Amino acid sequence: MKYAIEAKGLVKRHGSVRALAGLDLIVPEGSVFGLLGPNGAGKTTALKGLLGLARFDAGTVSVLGVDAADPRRSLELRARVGYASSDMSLFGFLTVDDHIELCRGLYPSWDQGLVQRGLDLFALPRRRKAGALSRGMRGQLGLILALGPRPALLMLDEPTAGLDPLMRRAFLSVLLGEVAARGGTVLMASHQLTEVERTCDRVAIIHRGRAVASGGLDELKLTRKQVRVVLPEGSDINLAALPGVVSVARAGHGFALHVSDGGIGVAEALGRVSGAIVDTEALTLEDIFCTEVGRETP
Amino acid sequence: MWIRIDPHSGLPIYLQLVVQLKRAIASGQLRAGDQLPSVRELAEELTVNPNTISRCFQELERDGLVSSLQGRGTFVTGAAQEGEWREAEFGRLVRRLVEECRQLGYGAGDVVAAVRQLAGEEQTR
Repeated sequence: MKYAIEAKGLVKRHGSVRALAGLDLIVPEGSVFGLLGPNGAGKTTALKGLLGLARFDAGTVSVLGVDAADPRRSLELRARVGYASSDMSLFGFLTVDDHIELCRGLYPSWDQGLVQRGLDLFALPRRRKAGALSRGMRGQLGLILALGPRPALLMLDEPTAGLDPLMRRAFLSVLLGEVAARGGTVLMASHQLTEVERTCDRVAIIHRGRAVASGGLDELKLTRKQVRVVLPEGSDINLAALPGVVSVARAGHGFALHVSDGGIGVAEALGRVSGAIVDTEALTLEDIFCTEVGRETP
Repeated sequence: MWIRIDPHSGLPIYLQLVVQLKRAIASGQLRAGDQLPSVRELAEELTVNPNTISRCFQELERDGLVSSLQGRGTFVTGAAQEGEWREAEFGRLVRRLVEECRQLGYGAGDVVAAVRQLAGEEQTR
């Protein structure tokens, strides 16, 4: 498998704060990858570094096969990587059309048909100055400008923040259609877990500057489960020590375990204990997120 | 589109798709020779990752329910109408029912008794 992004041990300090504390990130080509994490986890810092907009203090990073830390390659990389965020910097005194003309001239790979489709979809007022656009509209224009050059890798920071549900659907539809048709790679930082569950095939949960869980979303859902256990009276089994157990919480007279092996380890261990009741339940991405982020908090 | 995705379900989305398409094929909503929408069309329509759709198609193809013809698309085969597949699917459903009842502390015999009672109620209706 080829990787669009291969990052190992990334460290970034802001003064005495370590925004990234040894982040590993593997993004296969052709995937739509969700970068998740609580506020301040280091998502935006990671994206900026991957774009070459900031230097890492340690670690190695290859983006589209290019060393992203090498300033001599940054221009080449900039041409193949698209970026959009909900707080895009646009020129307030230029119109929507001016922005499009400007970018069109910069990129030989510009796809005006795709841009036109985006403009129609969002019904953007093409002669209005960017300074007079609403926040949602500025976000939409940013997305169109990022998609226009058909980048091999598209990085999005909270791409649908500020979009209403209808616009959000419409935007994701265009994005996924593009991925299906041309096979580009998308890396998006998002708090919209429901949206991530639909659109991403891989995710990484970042907490305190490190990836605490990552992999294929389907695999994550098939292996991360909640197991409810009721033990027979007087039993002294240490549930936390059973194979696959990530966390243990009391639930009434029983326990709720989070496991990372689909519940096989617990089922096998407790299958021999007569009177033990074991019930395995599915978890949503939000459940997994809260377990991973909550469990390291003191 | 009649396919519904529930991202909050713990079931992976590709499996949700597989279940719904199987049901549509088994019920005759989709018939032998019908063409499925393309990966791109479904990805756009459902706003679901294209790789997830491909994975669903592969699963259906492995079960012999659809076959993809190079450059032409994915088509429903006649396998679902041929009984064998429906029998296997029926077996799977029954096994799952029995397994879930066992977790509640009921044996296969209890399930049989309960099903008999249900059948009796249906007959008197």
